[in-house]
Amino acid sequence: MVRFMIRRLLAAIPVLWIIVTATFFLMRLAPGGPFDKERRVSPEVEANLRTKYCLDCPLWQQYLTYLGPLNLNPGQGGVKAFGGDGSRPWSGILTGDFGPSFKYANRSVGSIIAEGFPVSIHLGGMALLFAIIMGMVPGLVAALRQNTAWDYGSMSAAMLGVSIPNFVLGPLLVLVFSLTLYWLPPARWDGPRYWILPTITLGAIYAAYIARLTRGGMLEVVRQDFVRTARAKGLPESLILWRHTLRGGLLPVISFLGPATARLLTGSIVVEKIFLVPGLGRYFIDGAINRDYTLVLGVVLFYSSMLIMLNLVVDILYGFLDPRVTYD
Amino acid sequence: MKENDQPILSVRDLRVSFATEEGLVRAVDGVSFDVRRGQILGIVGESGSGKSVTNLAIMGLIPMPPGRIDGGRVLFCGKEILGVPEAEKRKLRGDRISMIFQDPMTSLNPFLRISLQLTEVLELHKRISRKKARRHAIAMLDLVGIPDAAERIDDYPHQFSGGMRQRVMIAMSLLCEPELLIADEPTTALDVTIQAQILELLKKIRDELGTSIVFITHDLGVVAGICDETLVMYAGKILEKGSTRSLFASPSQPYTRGLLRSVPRLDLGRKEELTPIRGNPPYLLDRSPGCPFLPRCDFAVDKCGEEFPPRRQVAKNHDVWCWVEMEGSAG
Ligand SMILES: Nc1ncnc2c1ncn2[C@@H]1O[C@H](COP(=O)(O)OP(=O)(O)OP(=O)(O)O)[C@@H](O)[C@H]1O
Ligand SMILES: [Mg+2]
Repeated sequence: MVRFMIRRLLAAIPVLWIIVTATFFLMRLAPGGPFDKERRVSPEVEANLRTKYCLDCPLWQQYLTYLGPLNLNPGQGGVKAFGGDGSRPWSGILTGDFGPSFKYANRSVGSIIAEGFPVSIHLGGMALLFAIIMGMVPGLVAALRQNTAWDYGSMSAAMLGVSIPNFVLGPLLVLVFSLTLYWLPPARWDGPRYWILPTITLGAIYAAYIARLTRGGMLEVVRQDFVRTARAKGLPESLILWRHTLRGGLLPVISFLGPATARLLTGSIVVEKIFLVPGLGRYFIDGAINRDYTLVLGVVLFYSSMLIMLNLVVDILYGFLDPRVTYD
Repeated sequence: MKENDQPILSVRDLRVSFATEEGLVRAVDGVSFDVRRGQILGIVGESGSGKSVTNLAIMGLIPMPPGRIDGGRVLFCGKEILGVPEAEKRKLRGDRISMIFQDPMTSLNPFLRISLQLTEVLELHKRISRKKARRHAIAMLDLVGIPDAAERIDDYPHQFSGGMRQRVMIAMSLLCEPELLIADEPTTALDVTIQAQILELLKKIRDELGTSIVFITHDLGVVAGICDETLVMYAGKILEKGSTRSLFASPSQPYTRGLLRSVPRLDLGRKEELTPIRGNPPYLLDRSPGCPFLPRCDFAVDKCGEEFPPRRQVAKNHDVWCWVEMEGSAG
């Protein structure tokens, strides 16, 4: 088990490296640069910034500088990143430093992630909770009352949920609950009343998926021979459900929850933009638009690590739920 | 084993059908038989003849819908159990009547240790503590021949071989010392040597615990080995039943003869050719009023298509349902 975890974590290193490399060069392929958008700075200042951030070095040098504590910048003690006073050299992501943001002067990518991530986790966590409750309960009911109005009703709702993208659902909810009924605020993140619409918008599609997976998984297990055995033993239906079918029936949901959790917790780009939630997703969009290379790279790297970690957690959880899974 | 004892199980004119997309399937169509105390009754027949459905109906495990009990009575120790409320049937199931199934690979819950799967039966029916139930379960695993039962009890099903799993299933079904054990093709999925061991075990259970057993199979060789009485089913109907000895000595239904001729028999030497029964098993949807075996029968007379024959006794404790009186043994 420990060996399995170590192996998986080691295997993650090349994966992350490939992701970083690909993102790095893809970003540079995109036309424009960090200082194109806001031409408020004078050419001299921009030139200054360019040397400071080493944007005029050859690409491979920039790449190596980004990666590690490699002093490849002639004439300077590494790339000086902060406040122009050279107080903190940027030592590269291998040392855990995501570097400075190109757009937000005087801020490091690390501090931006540290600021946006808690908000994203908050929103994502609530959306996750919403999705699990609103997915599993109707899914279970649908499976246990197959081919009844309950089943058809919840599955139609789930179908609808799967097919409405959140950039449609969000504005729709705002239109109804904020602009027509005046029940809930349309945007921002200032208190519980503000949390409701973004949570629903973000969680709805996941709830729909979970409902379908729960129903499918349960129906699959309910017709297994061992459930008939449980009945033949005289067990009451409630115990059969709780002890014999739930575990197997929820396995598909568990494996879906891994990547879903990663996606939810790292912030939803679209939902954060719609509702002006100050989470990581919004920074990511702004970063991409502004060609804020380091910010985008940092967020991508952070997101990928989360994804890898959560998938590992799911695999371990899977092993606890299904004894046939071995870690060799 | 007194002959005049009240049978442990009496089935009378049992009818079960399934609503399918193609129409109503009469899976069991007027089946009657008795199981006497301490007896092993064999039910043979080809796939789809209604063996499992008959016994699932006895257990009250027919999925409804699509299934439906169209009529009949099932008496357990003289008491009707077919129409009783689910809660009452649950009390019998696993306690006084238990059932083991064909495929030991899928019949145990792969997610749970067998200890839990065993003890839950005792906790439920006998209301004893888990600790006591565990001791009892280990003793039972021992009895059915699982080595190192005390250690293996905490294993998961996938850690056992097929034969061992069927032993676990048998142990599970015996925990509450049921009066009746229904074994639905318990050896079909196992290889021959394991099969023989399981059959020995079932005989031992009957001899030592006095459990009555209904043994379902499509293997006549197995029937000859362990069953006191045998019942031949075809398309939801019983075509012949009687003591195994008499039935094998003078099979009186063309179908039984066909079955016997299609299995190798040691006692007849090598002279006899193996001949499969021609044609396919019946299509249960469009039912003619006559004998369901008619399309495949070599002895059919006109009457066979018009009416299902009444019971005819050919010997003491040996009945047949056939219009044609056959002479001699067809072996
Ligand atoms: N759940 C069900 N839905 C529809 N039809 C069913 C169902 N269960 C059984 N049947 C039908 O009932 C008939 C009898 O089936 P049964 O399982 O009793 O056969 P069997 O004699 O046990 O055969 P086998 O040797 O293959 O186990 C079959 O034709 C089958 O199609
Ligand atoms: Mg069967």
